[in-house]
Amino acid sequence: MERKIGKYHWLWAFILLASGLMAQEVQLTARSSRTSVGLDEPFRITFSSNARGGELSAPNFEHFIVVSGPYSSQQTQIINGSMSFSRELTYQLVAQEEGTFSIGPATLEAKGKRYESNTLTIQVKAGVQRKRSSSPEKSVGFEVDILSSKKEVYVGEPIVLLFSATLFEQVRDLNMLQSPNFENVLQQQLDFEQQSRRERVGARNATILDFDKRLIIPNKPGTLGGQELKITGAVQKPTGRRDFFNMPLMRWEQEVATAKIPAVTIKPLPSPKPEAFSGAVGELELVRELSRTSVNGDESITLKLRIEGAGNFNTISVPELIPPQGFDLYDPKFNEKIRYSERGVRGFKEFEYLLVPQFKGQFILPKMQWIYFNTKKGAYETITLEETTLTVTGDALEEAAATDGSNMPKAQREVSSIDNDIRYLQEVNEDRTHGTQPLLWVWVVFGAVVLGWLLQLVSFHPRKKSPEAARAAIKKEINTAWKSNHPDAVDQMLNALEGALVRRGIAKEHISLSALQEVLGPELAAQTIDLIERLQLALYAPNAVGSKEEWLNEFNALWEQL
Amino acid sequence: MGATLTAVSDSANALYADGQFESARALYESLVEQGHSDPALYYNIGNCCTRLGALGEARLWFERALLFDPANEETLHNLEWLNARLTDALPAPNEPLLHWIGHQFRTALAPEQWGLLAGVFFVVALILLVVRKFKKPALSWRLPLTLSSIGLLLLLVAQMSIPQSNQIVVVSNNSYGYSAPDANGKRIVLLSEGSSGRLVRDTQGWFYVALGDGRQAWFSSDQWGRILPINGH
Repeated sequence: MERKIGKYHWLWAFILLASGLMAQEVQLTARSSRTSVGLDEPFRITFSSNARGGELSAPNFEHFIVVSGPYSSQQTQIINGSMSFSRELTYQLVAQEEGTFSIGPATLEAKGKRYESNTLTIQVKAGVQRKRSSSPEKSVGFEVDILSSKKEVYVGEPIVLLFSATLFEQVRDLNMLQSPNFENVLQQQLDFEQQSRRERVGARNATILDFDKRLIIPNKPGTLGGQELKITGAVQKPTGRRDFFNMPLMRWEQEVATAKIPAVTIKPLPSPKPEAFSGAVGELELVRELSRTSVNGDESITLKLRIEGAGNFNTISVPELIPPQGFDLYDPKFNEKIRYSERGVRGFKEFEYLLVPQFKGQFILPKMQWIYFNTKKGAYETITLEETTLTVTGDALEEAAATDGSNMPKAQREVSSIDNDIRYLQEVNEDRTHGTQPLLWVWVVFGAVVLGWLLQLVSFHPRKKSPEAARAAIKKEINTAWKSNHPDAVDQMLNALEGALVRRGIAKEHISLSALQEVLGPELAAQTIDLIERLQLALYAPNAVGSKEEWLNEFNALWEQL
Repeated sequence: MGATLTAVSDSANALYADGQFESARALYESLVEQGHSDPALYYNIGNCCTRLGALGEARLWFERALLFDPANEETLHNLEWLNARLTDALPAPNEPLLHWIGHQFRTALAPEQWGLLAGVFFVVALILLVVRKFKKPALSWRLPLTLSSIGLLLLLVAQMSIPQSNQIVVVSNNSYGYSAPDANGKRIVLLSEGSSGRLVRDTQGWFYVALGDGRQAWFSSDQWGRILPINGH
């Protein structure tokens, strides 16, 4: 029986121990190595539990960065027959910002129950300013910097940032805790081989390690912003003790270093922006390449439209080609080659078109303009691709054009060779200004001519007096002249007589006695010729006139009979 | 008025040379609105429109310039240059015979010059008629009749050569032609910028247009420009 009991002694002991442990209450605690820390000063957080099983989960370390960990350990102790078990989960943290922060409880899921630890409160202060000082008491193991290639850039202009660590002591396990998360930028990590060199920094020798290089293309004006760069590493520090061989004993101490975002001003592009501004920024060229400008009907032309140089290629798009008439244009092939380097984003973007002639003739490849912002000149620049004349030859195309079924006449699509640009302005001249009714005055003159012709048809004959009245008027006129001794009285009387004879059919040069006798009779003829002769004589010898009254009576008597 | 014309024109020329085509065009158009009708003015506006890419309007102004000065080589060149780029535009139908004859006369001499010639003949004939009537009735009637007839002929030529056009041009990017003067009507044709037609009828914002291919359709008048009248002149 004793042997039986002895045989199962250890089994009973194990059962009793296990049941004792099982009976223990589960505990979960959190503790911190420090409750007040400086920025970039690592400290430890440890979560302890006496539960063997279950899943222990750490809280979310908001406002802190895990420098190292978690390190887990477990321990079983038997003291005076009393057995205890504990396990721990340890993190090394560093604060991201100043302030007082709580680290939430860790949780443990065991036996279908959920256990929570206590909450920790950590006060984070600015701490001692890290300086590149030679003073041994304030010496730091390493520092980190971000170096910028430019202090001032335009939106879209690339900057190169170099991440550099200065190691004053022996450092291992250098690790980036927090990558600088730049805001409002496009970021590209450059291919870069880590390099180190020895330099003298202040009064200390240091190793400079360039460990990262990035290309940043800002897309909003302002200043470069974002999270800081934090790196961590184990720094070899003396313990102050010496070993058996009198050599100083060293220990590895975790340190964190922070680099500020460099002060880079991002300028907006100047205003006003040209309407046709493409959005491209850099030092660029727009190139149009033609495989040929003169082509036979069964050949084609390859046209490449390319933007090349250095600029914000990730947002640049190649302008669309303004196609020439008379060619079929196929969907373009897109070619691109972009390299990110310390000189910025370089390369090209290209559309490759295939132009297949449809008609014979000369066709104009239209002028193109493209506006971008030249960062070197600090101004908008317009690139103009001038017109190019494409010549298509070959007889086969003429037939094809005539039978292509198009409604458009061939002449409309064929373009004759003309100069490449419109003519310049003409001089505006006041004299050439047209009146509203330029021909009005001519019509007025025309009216006057018509009036002239009408006048030709109208004669101005005075109204004829009756013969008696006329004779009476002449008689009255002559009597008045004789009585008033008018010098022309003789002449008037002679004219009146001669006129009367003319009306009787005797012309003036034919007046003679015989002629008068035929018409007037012998007596009247003799009286008339006598008076006429005396009057003719009196014309040359006014004194020959006898009694005026007698001559007048003779005339009156004759006048009535004539 | 002349000084203003020169000053404004020179300013517009300077703006054009500086690449400020929109401002230059506004100045030239202000001169047109003042009543100046030099074809060079229309030509310059056409140049501004060309530079601004408004090829339909450019064609309208070049056609106006050509109407008043048909033999101007620069206008002919620019219009040809423009037509080379408006290859999708529909050409205008043939102009009426009288317009064509007037165009030919105008190519030789301006209407004012034809009128001046007619006036000279009329004045000489009138003088002869007066002399014949009042001084020398024996003067033969044949000479003043011949002069009057030639003058009348020249006057008719002058009258015919006065620019007339019912041509209109699409000045917007394109213009839909409808079967009725109603935007909800059936669309029967689409014309591109710079296309021409002959205005048949005009009713409340709609043009009934005869096209070069023989079709006729209603178009919104906002999208077309008339060669004549120019701003109501």
